[in-house]
Amino acid sequence: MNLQAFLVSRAMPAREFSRRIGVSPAAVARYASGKRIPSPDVMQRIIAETEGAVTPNDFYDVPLPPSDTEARTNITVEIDADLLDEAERLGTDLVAVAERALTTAIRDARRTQWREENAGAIKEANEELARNGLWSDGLRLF
Amino acid sequence: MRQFDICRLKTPSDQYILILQHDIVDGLHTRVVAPLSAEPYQQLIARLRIPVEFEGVSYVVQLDRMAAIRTAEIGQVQGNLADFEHAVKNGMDLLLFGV
Repeated sequence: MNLQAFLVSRAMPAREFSRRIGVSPAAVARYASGKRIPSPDVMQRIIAETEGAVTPNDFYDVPLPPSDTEARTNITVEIDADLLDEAERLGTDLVAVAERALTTAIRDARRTQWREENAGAIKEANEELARNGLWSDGLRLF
Repeated sequence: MRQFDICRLKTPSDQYILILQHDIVDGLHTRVVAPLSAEPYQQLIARLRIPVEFEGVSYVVQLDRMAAIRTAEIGQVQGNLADFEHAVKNGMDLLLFGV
């Protein structure tokens, strides 16, 4: 968030904030109104004092490219034309729907795979339980 | 008795348990613990059953069999498995939230 929003949200007077970061109240007023950009040294103290709530980009407001973790890509797919028409008519967000469905399908596939890979071990655990009983029988509080 | 300590139970005294519960709630007279088993399993359930070496013996921590027991049932501290914090977290994540 920008410095102005930070000061308002914490009900922090500019004078108090200026004391904490070691600059004049007039300087804080200029930073908060966007009339001046803090030097790197002051910037570091602002970041530290706001515990990262105010970042350097809050003074520059440069649009950031999406990070690698949310990289986007394009695909070409064939799709039922009537379905697509209706979705467009109703303003359905195709990409959001596709991503939700894919997320669910991937999770289900991962769970199926885990179950298959561990079926033998789980069978063995159940057989051992039948032989030896549960360690906590008689100790549990429930 | 602290988190990740291995203790014996008072009865049966040959049963080892691992303290899972964080020390922040050590004021409680109960502990959530998981048993150690010396059973020679052929296969281990991925992430849930953690193989450990302790006093020269191979054990398996059975996270799937954890339970809360009275602190009074827990005997002496025998060792500590703090190095397994990540493995325990990983196993609890699987047990509670799946994959």
